[in-house]
Amino acid sequence: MPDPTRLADALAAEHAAIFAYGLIGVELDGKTETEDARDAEAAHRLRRDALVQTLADREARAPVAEASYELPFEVAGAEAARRLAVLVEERVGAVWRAALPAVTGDDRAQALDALVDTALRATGWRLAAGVEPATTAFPGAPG
Amino acid sequence: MVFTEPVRDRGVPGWTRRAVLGTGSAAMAGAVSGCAWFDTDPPPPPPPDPLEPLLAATRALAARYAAALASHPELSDQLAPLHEAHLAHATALVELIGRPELASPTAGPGGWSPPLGGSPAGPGNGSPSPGGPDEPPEDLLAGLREAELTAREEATAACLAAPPERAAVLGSITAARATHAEVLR
Repeated sequence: MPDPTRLADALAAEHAAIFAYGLIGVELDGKTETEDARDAEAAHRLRRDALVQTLADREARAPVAEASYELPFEVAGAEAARRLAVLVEERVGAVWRAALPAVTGDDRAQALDALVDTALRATGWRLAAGVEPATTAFPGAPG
Repeated sequence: MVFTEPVRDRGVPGWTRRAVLGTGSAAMAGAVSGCAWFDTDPPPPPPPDPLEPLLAATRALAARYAAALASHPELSDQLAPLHEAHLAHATALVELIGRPELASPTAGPGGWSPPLGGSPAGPGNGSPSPGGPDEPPEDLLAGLREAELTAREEATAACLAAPPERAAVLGSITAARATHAEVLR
């Protein structure tokens, strides 16, 4: 029986990512980057909605969004916004990766898809921020 | 004791000693335990691990990057991190399989194939050989990108079929390959 706790963790992470992108979006100035931030936020909302449904189907506890989240650093300006976007994707990816062993079948496929998406967006934000290399060998892995 | 007679003399055509032992040993396990003659037969090799094809393909991909780096050193900034990632993935797969003898690429059944690129020119049709120094960088990068997309699909299938203790590492390998294809655009 898959453990829904890990999916609840993923839902909590998606809530936090949606909050963060609200701040990231207003700090970015270029049209392309602003659109990228909007697309990323929309993707996280889709994951959130799917998770709420999945957890409801299982009659499992679904965490609700906090009113606010503590940020690791002050987000002022485009450079800090890109840095936060990388961090958000890395942390959400780590939670999805941790869910992989706890789920099977369609849930495993969803978790893997989510991990891949976070890794792709993290790479995109690293490229935008000029961080090299823009890839990591084990996206989502601790350390 | 009956099992001390040479098996090959039993007159079963086409049956190897190992095959006869294989079918007989389960039923006769009690009878042969402790028999020194039995001990002289090497233990059967472990069954192949489902991740061995992925390990072999990962090494082949790493070798392809090594050949690309050798022929196009100017692409080192772009390709070296990806090459290192594939080597790290191979190491991680050996750990998952849990058979240290696979750590040497030449050990194990079908564990390694020579680099796909970087070989001397193939048929003399006048076109640049894939992976060779005269291959245009954009063609080389496009070929690597295709290989990464294929490799991503292979890792996806492995992750979805994996037992829990392997799923996270295979998920990371899948995600890494997706990002590789992205930076090779």
